[in-house]
Formats: sequence, C-alpha cells, structure tokens
Amino acid sequence: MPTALPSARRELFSGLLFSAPAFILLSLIHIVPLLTLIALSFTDYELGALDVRWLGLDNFARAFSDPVFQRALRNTLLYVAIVIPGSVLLGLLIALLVHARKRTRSIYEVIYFLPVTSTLVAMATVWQFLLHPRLGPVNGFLKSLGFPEIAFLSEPSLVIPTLAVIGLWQMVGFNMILFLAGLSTIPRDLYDAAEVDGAGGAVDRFLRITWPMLGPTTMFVTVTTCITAFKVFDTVAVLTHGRGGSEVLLYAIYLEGFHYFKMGYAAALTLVFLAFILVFSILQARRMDRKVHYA
Amino acid sequence: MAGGISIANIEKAFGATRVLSGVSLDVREGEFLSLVGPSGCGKSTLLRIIAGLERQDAGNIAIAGKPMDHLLPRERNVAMVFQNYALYPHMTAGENIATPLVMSRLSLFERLPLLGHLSPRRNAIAAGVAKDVRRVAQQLHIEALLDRRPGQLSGGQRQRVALARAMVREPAAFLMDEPLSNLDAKLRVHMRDELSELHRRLGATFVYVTHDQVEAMTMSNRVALMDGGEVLQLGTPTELYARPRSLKVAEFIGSPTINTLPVTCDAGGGVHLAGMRLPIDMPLGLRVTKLALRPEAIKLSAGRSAPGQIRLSGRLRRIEHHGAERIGHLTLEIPEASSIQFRLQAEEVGGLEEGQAVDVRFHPKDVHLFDAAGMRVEAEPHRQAHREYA
Repeated sequence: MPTALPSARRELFSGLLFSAPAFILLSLIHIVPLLTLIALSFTDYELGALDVRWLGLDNFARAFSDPVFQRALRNTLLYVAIVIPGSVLLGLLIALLVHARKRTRSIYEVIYFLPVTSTLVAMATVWQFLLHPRLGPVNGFLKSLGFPEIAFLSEPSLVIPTLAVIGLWQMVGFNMILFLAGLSTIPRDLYDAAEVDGAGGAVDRFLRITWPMLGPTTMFVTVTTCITAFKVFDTVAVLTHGRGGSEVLLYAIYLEGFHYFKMGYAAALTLVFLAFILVFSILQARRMDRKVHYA
Repeated sequence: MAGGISIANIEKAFGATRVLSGVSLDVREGEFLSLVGPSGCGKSTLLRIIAGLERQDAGNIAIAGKPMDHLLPRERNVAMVFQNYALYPHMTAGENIATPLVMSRLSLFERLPLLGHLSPRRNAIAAGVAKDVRRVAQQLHIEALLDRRPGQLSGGQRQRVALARAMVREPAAFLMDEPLSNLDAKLRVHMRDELSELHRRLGATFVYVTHDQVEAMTMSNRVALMDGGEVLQLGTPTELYARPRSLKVAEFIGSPTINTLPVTCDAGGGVHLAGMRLPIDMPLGLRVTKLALRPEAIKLSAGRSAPGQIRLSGRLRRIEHHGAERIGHLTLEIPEASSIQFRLQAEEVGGLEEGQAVDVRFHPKDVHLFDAAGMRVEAEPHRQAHREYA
C-alpha cells in the first residue's frame, strides 16, 4: 500500500517540478553554451577538426602576447572611453532641451530616435559616403574652409574616434529617450518648492533637483551604454574591415572564429571580452550606487 | 497692512477653463486665513498665484504693501508648504531645511559642488546656516531627524520638516496647500492643533488652502469660502456658520450638512412649509424658496410643543452613533423633502427605535431662508416676534 509522502518532501518535489521548466530552458539557452565556451577555450579546437588537444591556459597566454588582440583591446577601450561619456552627457543634454519643448517635443523625439531604429550596417554606407576623402560632403566642407583633405576612415589615429562618433550618433537617441522617461518621473512639486526656496535658476534647478533625481536613470544609461560600446562590431566590419589597425574586440573574435576557424582561440577571446564587460559594469554600478539616491 | 496680503481682482484661465474670476481678498497681517471650497474651486490656483508659481491673467497681488506681480517666487518673501511636502528626496532633513538659507546666503559660485569650497567665507556662512537649522528643528522637535532622508520619515515627521523648511527664513507669509490631507485622521487632528499653536507663536500671516471645512473652521481667524472661481463669503468661522450668505455656503459649512426644506411664499409675505403657515414673515416683495436648519436646531419633541416653535413629524429611519452624540435620520411626511438629520444626546436615545414615528420641533429664530437664486434673505424680526403660532 503506497504511503503518503511526508509533507516536507512533497513540497520539495512539487517545488522542483514547478521550477524545472525555467531551469531547463535557462540551462539550454545560457548555462550550457557558456560552459561549452569555457571548455572550448582550453583547447585548440578548429571547426571541422578531427582531433582536439587540451591546451590549458595557452590560449589566454597567447591572447595577451598577440599584437592584434592587444591592438583590438586598446581600440575598444578608446572607443568605450569616447562613447560612454559622450553619449550619456549628450543624451542628457538633448533630453533636457527636448523635455522643455511642449508642442514640438514629439517631433524632436522621433528625429533623435531615428538612428536607433535604423540598421547600422545600412547607415554605415551613408557614413562612408559622407566621410569619403574626395567625394564626401564633410571633406568638401572642410576643404572650403581651407583645411586639407582628411581620410577619416583610413588614417590610423582618426579611425577609432571617427567610429566612436558614428557610435555616438546611433546611441544618443536611445539614451535621450531613457533620460526623458527619467525626467518625467521627477515630481513637479519639487521644482515649485525649489522656486519658492530660491533654487529656481537653471543651474540650481539642475544641480539640486534634476541631476540627483536622475541618478538611477544615469546609472542604468551608463551601464547599458558601456555594454553596447564594448560590443562595437558592425561599423568596423562594414567601414574598415579592420584595416589601418582598426580591429576591435568583437571583430578580432569574429576573424579568429569565422575566418580562420580557430574556435578554441576565439572562445578564449570571447571569455576575455565577457570578463571585461562584467568587470566594467560591476565597477560602474558599485561606484555610482553609493552616490545614487533611490526614491 | 504691513505684513498682510492684498489680492485684487485676480483673473485666471487655463486655456478655455476659467479658474478664477475676479477674486479680491485682503489677508490681514498675522491672520490665519483659510481658503476653503470643493475641489476645482480655484483655491490652490489662487495660492500659487500669491506664491508667484502661477501668473495671473489680470489683477494685482501686494504683500506688505509692495506690488508682487512681476517678482519671482523667491523675491516675494513667502514660504510654501505643499500637499505632499515636496521635500527633496535625495537630501537629508537638515539639508532640506537649510536649502532656502543656502540659496539666499551663498552666491551661485559658492553653492557649486567642490568649487564653492574655495570661497573663504563659505565655512562661516555654512556654520550660521547650521545654527539656524538647529534652532528651527528644536522648535518643531525634529533635531533627532536632521540626518535622515525624507524616505526614512513618517508622514507627520515629513510634515514637520516641510514646516521647518518654510519657517527657517522667517518669511512675511506662510502659504499652505492642503498640508494635512496626506496624514491619517488622528495625526491630522493633532497637527491641526500644532499648526494653530505655531501660528500663535510666530504671529505670521498664514494663508491655508483646504477642502476640509473642519480644518478651516477649527484653525482660522477668517475663512474665505470659494466656489466656481469666486469667493462666496469671507468671514469668521462663526459668521460663516451662523449667517451663511448663500445656500452653497450653508451647505458646505457644518457636519452633518445643513437640512434644507422647500418653502413657498404668499403675497402677504407669509412663509409656508408643506401647507403649514410658519411664524415667519418676509419683507414685502422678497420671496423665499428654501428653508435651512442646522441639525442641532432640531430637537426631539416630547409631548406638547413649546409656544412659538414649529413641529414636524416623521419616521426615524436610522440612528447614527458618534460617541457622545447621535445623529438621527428622519424621513418627513412632506412630499418634496426626503429626509433631515438632527443631533441627539446619548441620553435622549433611550427608548427610541429605528422605524418609530417621532415628532421634532425647531425655533423660528434658528431658520435660515434663501431665495430662488440661493441668496440669504432675512426675515423681519419685529413682525416675527409678535405673531403667535397657532
């Protein structure tokens, strides 16, 4: 005769049963691929290769002495260093300006948001034309002012800043929308109180109310911008193909993995890339969290 | 009017909606004046116009005799307490209270983060501000809370911090926009008392906006009852209660609401209630359509009615308990009047049952009469006194 399970065990069983679908899905989609990636990164696996050798940490050691990877790392960090402050501050500035509009607000929102909705691969072609040394209107304008012709996309010292400007152009609209959402949650009363307390001037309003009240938004915007900036790929792939020393992390991984089929090495690079995003995001979140006020 | 506020012919419309139509009002120096009225009557807008947060379409505001119309809020020397306190959530209570002083005593450069510390006089001023903040905090018993953020404070504590922020720079007038409406009932009664006490101690001019007539009646020196963008009546709480100028005022002030009964007027100035001639006479030419009676003017009629009193009968629908007193709901045997409410003392209730037929009486002198436009009409006193009710 079957005896009833003790209630604690029965609860455990049904608990496991309920969490199983989510657990299985998470494992299949996130955990198993990540473990596979980690496993691959310790081998010399190449796509289609018949035997695989265990390399231990060799891939990682090689990565940090590989000049291409080092250049890609430097380029990415430079790119991130331009794009994060640029797109956060510019997004905030534009959001403040657009927020002050009443009737024309939605028009400006659409205009600034357009680059976000467009495909960067397609828009990169437009940028390529705009920045073309001989045909592009940008150089045409510069030349009319008496400046020499500038090869934005092939001059090694300019190529990463140029790509960063294109990245900015694409990301600012999204950050603006996030800041606008943040701005609309600031109670009007606070501005009234500030007005009566004598903090009604533009600088005081911004420093005493707007900026501190946007703390959580700013933190979110910074972290998401950081992640997006680290993942820069399409402009490099379309505009420079890594020429002129313009490789970035993702492009280097793409070359190793899908051009040279060195999956093991690419996996190791990917892990380094993930580690960078993780460390940067945590550091930023930590540092800002102390200053941010949550309502 | 040294510290008083003079409000003259203020007009305000938001788009097509007219909010204030020609409001004039003089707030005396040191007075506690309430603006009371139903929501949407324009009272908050008027307060915001006094503060300078809203600009009037026409009319003038003067504080302490000085025209304010083109001055910014901070130049008007008024402090405001908001309905939800509007405390800066990222600052401590102490920083909140200090804000008006910091703004007025430090220059823009000195207020800047980091850079401001370069100024040699900044530390001395900051010490002075801290001293003033502590002084005000002591008066309101919130010294222990100065380092907390508004999010860590209870409603009543936030209220006090908001008051302290208003008090700290000793303004000519305090403007309060429903400051007690977010508190629970018990705390509201307590804070009512404290606000009255504070007003007495500071001797400053208070303009207090509320939709709660009890708050207005209990705290104010004078009450301005507003509706539809106009002041219906301005007077002491006693005046508003005892001699309402219109039916709207009569119905707004007092709880339970004043009872109204339809009356008719004959050619000779006699007033009739449900076919009964009342011992009240109107001056010739004046016609009344409504009679109003406060619930306490109606008494249970035990046995024979006293001479000169008016008697009504009906069925006791319900007895409502309010501690020491009860409110009786009486369904009258008059076709147009559904029900009236009257006050009963606890000891009178003994033996009464819901559904029972009872008689009530009232004295003609307690009656308020209103014409078809809802305006108060005075009965003729001498004729009324001489006539004997049959």
